[in-house]
Amino acid sequence: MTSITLPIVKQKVSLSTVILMGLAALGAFVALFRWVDGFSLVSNLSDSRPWGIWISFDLLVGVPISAGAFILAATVHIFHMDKYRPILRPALLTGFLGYLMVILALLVDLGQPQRIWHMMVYWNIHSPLFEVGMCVMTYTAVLFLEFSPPVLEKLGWTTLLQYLRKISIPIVILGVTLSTMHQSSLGSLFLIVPFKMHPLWYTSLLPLIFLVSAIAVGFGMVIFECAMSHQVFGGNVRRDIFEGLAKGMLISLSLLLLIKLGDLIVAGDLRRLFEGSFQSAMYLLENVVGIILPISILLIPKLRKDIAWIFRAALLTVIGLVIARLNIGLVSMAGVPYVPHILELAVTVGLFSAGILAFGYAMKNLPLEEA
Amino acid sequence: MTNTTDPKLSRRDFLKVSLAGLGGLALAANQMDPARASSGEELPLEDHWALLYDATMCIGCRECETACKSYNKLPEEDVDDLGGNTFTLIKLYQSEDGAQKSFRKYQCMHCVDPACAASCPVSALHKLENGPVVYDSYKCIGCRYCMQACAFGVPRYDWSLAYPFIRKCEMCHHREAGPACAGICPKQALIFGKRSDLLEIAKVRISVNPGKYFEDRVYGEFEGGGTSVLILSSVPFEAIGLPSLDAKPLPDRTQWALNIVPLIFFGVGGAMSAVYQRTKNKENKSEETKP
Repeated sequence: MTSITLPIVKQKVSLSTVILMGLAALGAFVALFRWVDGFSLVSNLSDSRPWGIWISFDLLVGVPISAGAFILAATVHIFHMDKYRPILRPALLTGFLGYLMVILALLVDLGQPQRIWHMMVYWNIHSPLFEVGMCVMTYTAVLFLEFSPPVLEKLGWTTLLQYLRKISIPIVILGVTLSTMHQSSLGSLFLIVPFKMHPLWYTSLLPLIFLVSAIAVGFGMVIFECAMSHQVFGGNVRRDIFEGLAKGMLISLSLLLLIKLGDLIVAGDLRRLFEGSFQSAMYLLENVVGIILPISILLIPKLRKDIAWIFRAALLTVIGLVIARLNIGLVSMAGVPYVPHILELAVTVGLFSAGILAFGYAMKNLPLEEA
Repeated sequence: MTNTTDPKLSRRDFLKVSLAGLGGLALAANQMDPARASSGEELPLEDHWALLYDATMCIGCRECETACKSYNKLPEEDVDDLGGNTFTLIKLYQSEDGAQKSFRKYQCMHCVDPACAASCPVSALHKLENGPVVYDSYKCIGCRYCMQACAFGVPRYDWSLAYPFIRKCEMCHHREAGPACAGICPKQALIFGKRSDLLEIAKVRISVNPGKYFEDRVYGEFEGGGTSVLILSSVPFEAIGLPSLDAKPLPDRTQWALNIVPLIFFGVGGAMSAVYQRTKNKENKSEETKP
């Protein structure tokens, strides 16, 4: 029914599974080493670079690429757009696994990981990180509840399932609220460092930019997953679902472009785009790849109806967000040059691999097509 | 650049500055009441514990470093930066042509509105009612947001440990006579006292030595909302590694985003509930009107 020209990876699943398992094991080994011996041998973190790739990728990218869960939950359960129901469960699964990976990464990055629960006891309402932490913990619990129906169906625990159905709407609303809060407050984390951050990135609107880009990439990830499951798991996703998601992505990307451009103009920083520094080049890259190219593709009516092009636009949006968040965490910051240690990257890659493995396992073994 | 080698400073001026310094010290010692400071009462800003570092009077003897190490029981180490075992450090700055030289004492600035305390998600860092910014290691989760947030790069980490803690100057807040570093300074380049007294002393030094001090102002009076460590320098503050900050406290930049959190919570929650009801009714109606 479609003209997708993606590589068929079905036959190679066993080989890629072995590779993913190897990467996950390596990541786990490095994490173990960090918990036993500390940071100095496995990371390039330092006093002037206290946050490295684990924060800039695992947290700042991990949270927004899991945003598809709250967007689809809202679309189906709150806006009652029933045509998206078939893809809701895979999106909730990705979200839940994504947040689990974020928490695992934080357990590697924190100096005192055994005290992660302290946030629930020693509050500081003046800290955006407190807000992020509380929301991420609560929202992971919400995602657990939202995602549990297929597991309960598989186990045949119908009584619990019925209780869960009764509270499902308040839970979905709580999930959307918590997501709005922490997707934006991830950006608030950087409001306190105007002295460190390149002016192309520093703006009071960082929370808004973080929220809108998370929504755009949430749509992008759902498109990506639909296309992949279409290929790998033999799913049969309807064309109008792709088109609807692409429309959502186009609207949020356009809004993002307006906010970012408007902010640069008002702040008088437009000329910095062409200052010729490494930072300005990276800033241009994140916006061309992640905003301008996908918008251009989706503005062409013919391409907007072509699933292969919708997929490409989604892929660009996701890659653009990865660049944008790495820019915020690493490139925009003044300080001694930082390049992640190869073993730091091993943790990030290992966690990502573990997430993909868990996703594949769940797709095959759980009833993700809602009855 | 010390008093004795500065040709512009006459002997008379030198005496004046010294007297102002001594007078201030005596004044401060009289009015500083450790009992009151530890009583738990919130002290007004002018009564906060403070330090005045006059870079022009510092001879770089580094007695303050030794006193700090000894009071805080820190091992000796050969470093050129603050670190897990170095809470204060004297560095010498020299312009490229060698014409301008100045010492600078590095340590926690004990901000009036500290970014580290505002950013800490578990309130491990906080400002005591009498001024010092202190750290409760038992609360710390090791997120290192304080290190990211501090404009002066003060909080350091003990990277050699598997489960490290933040390490920084706490102004010897348990020491009744005030910070050990100030107590030992032989030249009164570093004096301890009430913030308002020290500001006054600094301004006297500026007024009796017109043109001596950079921009005739005290660093820390307003920077980043004010600090409890005040600095006088004859060279530009940036040249001795002090960041140029406006008078807006850094935590204020985050405040607007945190203030709207309840609004988002109830706003988004309410809006979603409303949309749910509306679209649900529509759905029911459209189902009803269907044959």
